Amino acid sequence: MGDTFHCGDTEALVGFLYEECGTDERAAIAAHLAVCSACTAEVGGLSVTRQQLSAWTPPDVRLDFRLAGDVTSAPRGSWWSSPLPAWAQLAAAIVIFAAGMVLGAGVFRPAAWAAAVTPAADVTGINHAELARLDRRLRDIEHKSPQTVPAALDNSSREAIATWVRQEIRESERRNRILLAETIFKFSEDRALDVTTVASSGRGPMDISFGPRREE
Amino acid sequence: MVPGRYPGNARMTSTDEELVARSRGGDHESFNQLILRWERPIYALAYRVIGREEEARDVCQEAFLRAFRALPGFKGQAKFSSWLYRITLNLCRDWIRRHRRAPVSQMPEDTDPLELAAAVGPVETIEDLAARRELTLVVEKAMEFLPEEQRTAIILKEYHGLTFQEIADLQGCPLSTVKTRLYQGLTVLRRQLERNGHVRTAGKRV
Repeated sequence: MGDTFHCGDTEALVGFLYEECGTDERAAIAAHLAVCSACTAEVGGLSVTRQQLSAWTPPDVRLDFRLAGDVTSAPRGSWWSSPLPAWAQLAAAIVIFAAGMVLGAGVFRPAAWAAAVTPAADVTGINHAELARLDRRLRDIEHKSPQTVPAALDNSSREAIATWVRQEIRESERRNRILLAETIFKFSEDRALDVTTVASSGRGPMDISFGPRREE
Repeated sequence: MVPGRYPGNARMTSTDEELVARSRGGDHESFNQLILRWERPIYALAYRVIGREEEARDVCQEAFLRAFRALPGFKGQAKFSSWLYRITLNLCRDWIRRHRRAPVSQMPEDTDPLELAAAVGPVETIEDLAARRELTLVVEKAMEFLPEEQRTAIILKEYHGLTFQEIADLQGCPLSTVKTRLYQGLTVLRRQLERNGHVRTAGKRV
């Protein structure tokens, strides 16, 4: 653009309207407007429109975005900076719900919980190490200590061995129940810790969350 | 570009560049200061472009999140605000592509805005509008008639004070195109506002 203005040059008029044109060009446009009613009306109309546009204000919403979580590490786009995917959240919810159900049964219905756990331990709860250890002890008794467990047993001896085996099984089941209870308790503790962490850090350790309004 | 607010905290006297540098060094509080400084303008931009309050807030939040994650790659070739505006506009564009119906946005750039304004059907009178809406809603409604590019150009110019060149950089178009978009957009808005009875001269409604 130079120091001349051609009537109807809308780009130049826009530059004039927003005061983004050179001094010479501005002077040329101003001189033209002084003699051209059409261009004067055009610029005037657009100026009025601009005034009206100033009435459009966005709603006064509360924003207060903040980075939440650890403020000591450098920004980076690692996997944990993203919220958990939906499938992971669902899986976690199912696990937590299941653990809650088991805990609830144990805490509020001890008899039913014991009844539910014991048969399960018979099928899947007793670990293989326990079974193997018991098996080895029985074989030791049978093969290495024939004097302790003679080949031909009378009824009283059989009854004694059966009693001993039942005690061993009960002891094994007791240890497994304790182990299971400890596992559930540990899971519950971890869950409580996770919930606390999530609640205190928004959707993720590097996420942006809505926080309380700050002093301004 | 004028940031929204500068609370009285001494730290707020830092420039964007200083806060960006500290943020890149791991100082999250500095990034929080950038958020505090720019959240209002960014929200306003998102709201005016997509026209929905909640979605604009989501876009605003996502813009800052993306900016934070991309901060290590931000080398400062552009102003932080320009970079943030670009991120926001890209998010707005994505949102519009997913949700917007806006048949007017399909208007080709060479369409005569006067013909378009004249072709628009009957609209509510000023009496009807004044009875239930403020001028801000009338303007908002008029803005809906604009194609996305014109609407964005006007928003960036009128409400964020960007220069023609800054708008051209953000929109990836020549300077002359920005001026054309502004002129056509203002013309459509002018006709729409006149049809709604909002004819004023020098700040006085007639």
